[in-house]
Amino acid sequence: MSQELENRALSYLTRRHFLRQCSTGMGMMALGSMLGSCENTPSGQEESLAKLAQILPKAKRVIYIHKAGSPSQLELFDYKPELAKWHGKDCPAELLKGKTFAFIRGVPKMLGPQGKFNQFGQSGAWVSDYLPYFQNVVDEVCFLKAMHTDQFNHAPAQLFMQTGSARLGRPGMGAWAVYGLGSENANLPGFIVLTSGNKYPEGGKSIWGSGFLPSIYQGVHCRSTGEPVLYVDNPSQVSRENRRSTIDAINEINQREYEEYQDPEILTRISQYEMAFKMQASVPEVMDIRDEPDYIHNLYGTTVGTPSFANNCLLARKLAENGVRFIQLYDWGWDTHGSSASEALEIGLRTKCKETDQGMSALLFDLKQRGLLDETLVVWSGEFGRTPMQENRDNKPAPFLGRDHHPDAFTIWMAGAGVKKGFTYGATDEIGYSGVEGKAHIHDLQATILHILGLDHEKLTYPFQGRSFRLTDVAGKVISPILA
Amino acid sequence: MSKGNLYWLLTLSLIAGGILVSTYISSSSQVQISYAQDVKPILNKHCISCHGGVKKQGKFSLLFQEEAYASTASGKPSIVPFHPEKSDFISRLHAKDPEEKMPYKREPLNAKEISILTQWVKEGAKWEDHWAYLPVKKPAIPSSEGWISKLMFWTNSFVKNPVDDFVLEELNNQGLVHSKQADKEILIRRLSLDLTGLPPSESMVKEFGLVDSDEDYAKFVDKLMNLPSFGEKWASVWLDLARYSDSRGYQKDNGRTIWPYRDWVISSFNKNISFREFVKKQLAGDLLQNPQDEDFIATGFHRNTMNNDETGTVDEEFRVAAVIDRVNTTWDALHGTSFSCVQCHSHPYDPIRHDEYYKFMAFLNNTRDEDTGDEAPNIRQFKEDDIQKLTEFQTNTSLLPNSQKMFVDRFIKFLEPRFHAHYADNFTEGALLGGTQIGLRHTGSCRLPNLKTDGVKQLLVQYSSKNPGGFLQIRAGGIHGKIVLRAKLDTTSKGKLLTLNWPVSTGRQDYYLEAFNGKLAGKADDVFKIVWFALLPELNLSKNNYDDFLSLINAKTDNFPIYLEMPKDYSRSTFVFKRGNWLVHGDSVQADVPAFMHKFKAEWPRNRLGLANWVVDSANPLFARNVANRFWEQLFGMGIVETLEDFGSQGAKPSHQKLLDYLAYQFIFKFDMKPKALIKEIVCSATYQQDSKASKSLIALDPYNKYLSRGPRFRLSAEQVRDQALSVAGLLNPKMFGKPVMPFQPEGVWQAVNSNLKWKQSEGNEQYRRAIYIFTRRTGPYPSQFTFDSPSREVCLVRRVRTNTPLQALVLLNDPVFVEVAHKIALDMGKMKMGKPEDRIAAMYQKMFVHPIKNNDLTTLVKLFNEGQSMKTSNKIQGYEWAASAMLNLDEFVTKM
Repeated sequence: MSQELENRALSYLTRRHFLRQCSTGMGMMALGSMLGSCENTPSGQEESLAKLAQILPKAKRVIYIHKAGSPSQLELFDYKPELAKWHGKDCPAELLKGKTFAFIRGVPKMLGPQGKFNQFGQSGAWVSDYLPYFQNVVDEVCFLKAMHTDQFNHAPAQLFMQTGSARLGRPGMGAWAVYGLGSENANLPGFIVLTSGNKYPEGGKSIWGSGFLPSIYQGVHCRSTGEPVLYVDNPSQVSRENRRSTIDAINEINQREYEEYQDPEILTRISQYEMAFKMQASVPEVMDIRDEPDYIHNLYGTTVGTPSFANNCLLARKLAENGVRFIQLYDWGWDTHGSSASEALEIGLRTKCKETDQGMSALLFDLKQRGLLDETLVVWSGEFGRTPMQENRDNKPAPFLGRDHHPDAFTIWMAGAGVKKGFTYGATDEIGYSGVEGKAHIHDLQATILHILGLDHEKLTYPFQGRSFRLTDVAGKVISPILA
Repeated sequence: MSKGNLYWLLTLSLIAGGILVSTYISSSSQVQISYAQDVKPILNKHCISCHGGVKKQGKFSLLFQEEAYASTASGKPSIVPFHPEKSDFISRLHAKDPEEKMPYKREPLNAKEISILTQWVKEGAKWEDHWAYLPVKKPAIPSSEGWISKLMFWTNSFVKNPVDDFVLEELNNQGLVHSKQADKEILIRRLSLDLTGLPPSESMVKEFGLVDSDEDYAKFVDKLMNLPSFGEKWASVWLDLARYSDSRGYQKDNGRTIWPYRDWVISSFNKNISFREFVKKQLAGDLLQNPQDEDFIATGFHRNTMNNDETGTVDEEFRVAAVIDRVNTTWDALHGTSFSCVQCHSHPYDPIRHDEYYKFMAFLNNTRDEDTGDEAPNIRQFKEDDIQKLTEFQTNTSLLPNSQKMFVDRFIKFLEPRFHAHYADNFTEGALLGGTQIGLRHTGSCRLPNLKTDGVKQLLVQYSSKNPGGFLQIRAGGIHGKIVLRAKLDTTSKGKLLTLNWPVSTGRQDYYLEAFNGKLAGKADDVFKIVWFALLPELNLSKNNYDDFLSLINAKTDNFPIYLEMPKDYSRSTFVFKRGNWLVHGDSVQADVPAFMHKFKAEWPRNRLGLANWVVDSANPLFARNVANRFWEQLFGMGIVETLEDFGSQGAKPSHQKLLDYLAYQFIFKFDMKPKALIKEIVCSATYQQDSKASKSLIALDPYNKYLSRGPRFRLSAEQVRDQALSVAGLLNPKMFGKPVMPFQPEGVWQAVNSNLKWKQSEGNEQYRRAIYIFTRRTGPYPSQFTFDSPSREVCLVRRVRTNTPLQALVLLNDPVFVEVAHKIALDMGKMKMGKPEDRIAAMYQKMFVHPIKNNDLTTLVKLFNEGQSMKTSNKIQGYEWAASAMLNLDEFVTKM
């Protein structure tokens, strides 16, 4: 690791060097570590980066799997036999006092767990029959069972999870990471987002936006159909060689303009055209899974040409191999209210699990067999949890079994670099309503992820509208018991 | 400074144990230490995070003067003016004991910093206000060129107006020299892009060629500013501040029709209305005497806040969020002050107290909007057929008593005052459905709290009821109170208006709404659903007229969100939110402005209108400085205060403070705050007209052109990049105003959940409208605009940061809009009447860049053309397409030179 630390120190210096060049307007080819340049660096940015402490980094990159809509922890991981005994009974008044729910009105009934739970692996982690593949990789995983958040609606909760604030306008976690560390790869963006489930998460693109950070840090959304990055493909009549000729002509004239005007921005533009040309090759290449061997397709359950979460898992591995710093997979469709079959615990949730269980388990397995799990942190979460009560939207019984949004207690897991293997942290009460030990807040999770990347969440700040902002706002504590 | 003082200082420094006599003291021994210039930056850097607005360690704070000189936890003041030796403030900087030493557990101050603080105390520790908070006064204009050059009037003098005197003075201080005037062909493109956002037309270029004097130049500037495209260019700047968007934000991010506000901003710039009126109308147009429709439209400024339509959200929470956003925007956009810091605690650096935030918020906390699904209040625009009906109704009711007439007209225009469903609480056997409807089952009830019913004659209810046999009942005082009224309901699936007579009652009390329908006993069906209700005063309307009144209320209209004030009887109290938490109330506060600012005059009403008067008052130290700085930044690429968003002590120091004050002074007292006059003053300066070429050594000396030794040169805005491309291709549709348009956008950019908003490509030449008319969606900004740093407009953006990324290259090379532009330019070259391709390329270049192409650049483009033309394809103009695309991608094309 000391080698890694040294490298980090070096790249950090390079980065400072880069920023210095950039802020004096001299930025040009020293962009090895990042995609883009900023013309006017706000005063103080460099200073705030200089304050970054050296923490021993455990992970080089993060793969963050976000199940938009929020899967039920009570069906998947948080086994509550006591809740089964309460099944069908009225919810006790003390649980409802002073609470607001998204949809539950009046007095709902309690709803027992719908999955069959068993313990798996050396670690004996509880997993239900909803996730038969995942049962095999639990010894790599660190569960956090008493997470809590401040928000109970999707959009604000997703924003809160990913940007540290429920309001729009703050940078996403990946944007912070790339801002703090730069990119490892010169041909690809440092922060890439993949989506599945036919829809974007409710929080919209802002959850991977750059907020007030310069737009070079925003997550680049690689699309699963059409061009992976907007406008990366040339028009139909223009070949790659043709494009080269055009860019050569542009850069030639720009170079002459530079001789005349001496504006360093022109040099930056020249290098950005070179970068664009490289991206035109590297992005479609890395986003193409056709050349993967059959056994890999079998492992992930992927089908070439059919966009799916499993495809995104395989792409995540490829992006990790290619040194993308922050990879996010958003999968939509986990909002199991019980108001329709696709939102039912016994139907929709089983379908979603079936669609995704193999892919995410294969990702952990594949990263491990390639030695990438030692340097990659994988995080899996929704934006909140689900209630132990059955939802009764508008005070009516729902047609299917479902649970309402629940911010007070839910399970997430992490695996790979920096966290303990086969470990469970935190616990909820006997019906899974509140955390009773090892509670951790979203800001704690964010502080921990940055810490594992070697960043101090209190020092990774950016000056905006007169004050320094950070991912964890004014809170957050590293969850040290889970650190490996 | 006397010798004695210096000797004393030396002694002190030696006693303190350090060899601290720095060159600073000896070299500046004549100059008094300035608190604002010299001391405050040191305090901000080392002291104030523990001794300021957030923390007050040892009960010592350096934020306000009286706090700094007050007794601390030690029982005595820390600063003793004239006596550094008696001041803990100084001695603890030298302390050895780590518990005593300041800054506590942090790096010590350096010798220079200590000597400045010491000298400051020695000179009496004189407090000063921050420069930006001092009144705007006209600075003396420096005679920068010296009397010799002034006398030699026949030589070419650089100075064209006082702007240049200030600039030249600073250039002299820095040992820099100005550049020559830019060539005319460069200057005309610069002027045209700056003033209209578009490249110059060929006739304009010709006309500018004839400009021969400063007078001609000024007239030409007037001419450009009188083009309608002027308003479109400058409105873009304002819309970032106003966070204007055609969508509502948050999860669904549904559409919003507030484009009349955008049009109003464009027209206001074109009409050159004074910023006094411009800003006053936006903050309080509804409260003016006899407000016109456009005055209401102007209040859309603060209705551009986001609206949360997601089920289960608490409307009051997001109403408060919107009000907080308005407070912050009022300070960010109009004052360049980070007031938002004060939401949770006193300002960390600037002299603003925590409760002052909420006193200010009290001005803005009494508007009718409540985060409802219909974005009420709206101004309603009737359809053609209904306008006739409305006119008739107005004629028929023209003899109504004045107060009644006003009530009905206002109600028809705004549907106000009314109560939304979320006004009800304490539901039993019922719920607030989807946050928008009162739904009650058989025997269900809810409370309508604290209604004031003096003079109320009728209750108007907008309801729906699917099952026959339903009743609605209202009780006064309590759930078992006296029955006030009871009514049988007709079935209706659409919303229906029901008018019920209200029995005589006075005063305020709670009422209870109940529902009955025996047929639904034990069922989960609602007896009725209510969206809103209103309390009507006496209205002497005939049956026919009343029916017309109802049908006009029900008429489908276009609705534009506006500001309206709460009725007096329902005005809200404002409280301090402890630590910024809207649920934890501290003391109740009255509307007031922060003490560090100019006074709120007694003759102004203590409401939004008074606040608007206060903002645009000539005594406001920040408003005019901000406007002048913003306009400067638009033209030069960097503000005189680089941090447009922060004029406080943490912001950047002004590069030319006197120049800024001069412009602000002119703006207030000479230009009547009219924008065109301010812009004209700047663009008529020699400073603006300089050539933007630079040498390597100049770039090294002044990389950002902070000292203005050359003309402005920076990348065009997102809007300019698009509009210029469409314009040179002859594709631009100059149509102004109206509904937003949807030019080509790739599939799948909009994929919001639970939203029915769809991108439907505009037809015909609607898709070639200027960028300002493109539909702006907060969660799905138009890709090419966003890539060129146009913001998503979620919150007020005070300054765009310009980036330079590969994604911009991909847009200009491959975005079908730019591919089409290149194709059209190629077609135009193909049609030219000259023979040789190189002549055509040169002619097109001249058209796009205004100046002739250089030989080697032409050679490069012709080579590319030949390569494109030699490809074996059916495309006869491929070579021209390639050349056109290359030209669109040149640095010069996307740069203002």
